[in-house]
Amino acid sequence: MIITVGNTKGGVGKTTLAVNLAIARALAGREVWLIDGDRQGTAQTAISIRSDAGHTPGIACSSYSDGPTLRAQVQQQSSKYEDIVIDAGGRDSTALRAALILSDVLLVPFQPRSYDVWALNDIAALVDEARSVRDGLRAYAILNFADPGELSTDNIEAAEAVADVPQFEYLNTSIRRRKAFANAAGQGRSVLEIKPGDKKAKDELNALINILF
Amino acid sequence: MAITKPKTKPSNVDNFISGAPDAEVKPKGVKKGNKQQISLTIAPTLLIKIDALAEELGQTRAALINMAIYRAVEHGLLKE
Repeated sequence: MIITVGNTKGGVGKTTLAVNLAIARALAGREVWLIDGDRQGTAQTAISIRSDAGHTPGIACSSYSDGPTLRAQVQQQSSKYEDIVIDAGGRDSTALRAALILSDVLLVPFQPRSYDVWALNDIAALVDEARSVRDGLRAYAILNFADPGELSTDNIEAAEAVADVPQFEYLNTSIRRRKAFANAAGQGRSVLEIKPGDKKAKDELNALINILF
Repeated sequence: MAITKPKTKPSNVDNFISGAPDAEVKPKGVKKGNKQQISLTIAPTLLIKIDALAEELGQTRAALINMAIYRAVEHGLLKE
């Protein structure tokens, strides 16, 4: 399956989530290819740190910030992998658009903040455009860096705001703002493998994976 | 093969991808090798001078015009 973690807005935790997802799938025994479609190359750097430290399983990671190249490479190589995770965006880019053409699933992380909610409309417009030239793109919005507490007003209101953007299906498995995610991703690792582990972070990631794959 | 197939138009997908703000901007018009074809109108008197100078230097008209434009772009239009 090809999944893109993308948003035209930056700072929503795309790379952190993409790295965590890719490693989690590899830990489950899948052949995984992580593609960094962001010019900043953060995912690629994280995976280099992982490989330098000798953590297994190793993750195949490539960096393509040019959309046509990304598309051509994925078309050529996709049969060799069971799961492809593409980290794309931060802005409207050829890489993000190419990813929208290739993917089975688009996962759009957003924070429970006004700016993030407003920005959903931008990525929704791109989803519309992508759907006009291809079939079968499933698009999910997921609350990332969610505030603590089951009754957080901001979380609830942000989730409700997704109803105004019919392009997305809202996934009711929020990822909370937890140090474990950022710390693990900084070492090129997933929250599923770090010790001491954060059980809540693991549960959140596993819940998301169960829905997506 | 006597029948030449028509040139395929860029697909909707290509157009969608290249519609992003960071896409490479391709200049319009005809490309010849590494160069871009432009059309230029010129004063007849200036053209006569250009041709005369080109002949003197053993260059083509196009080469001389290119050199003159290069000088203007890189070193300023007017002589310092």
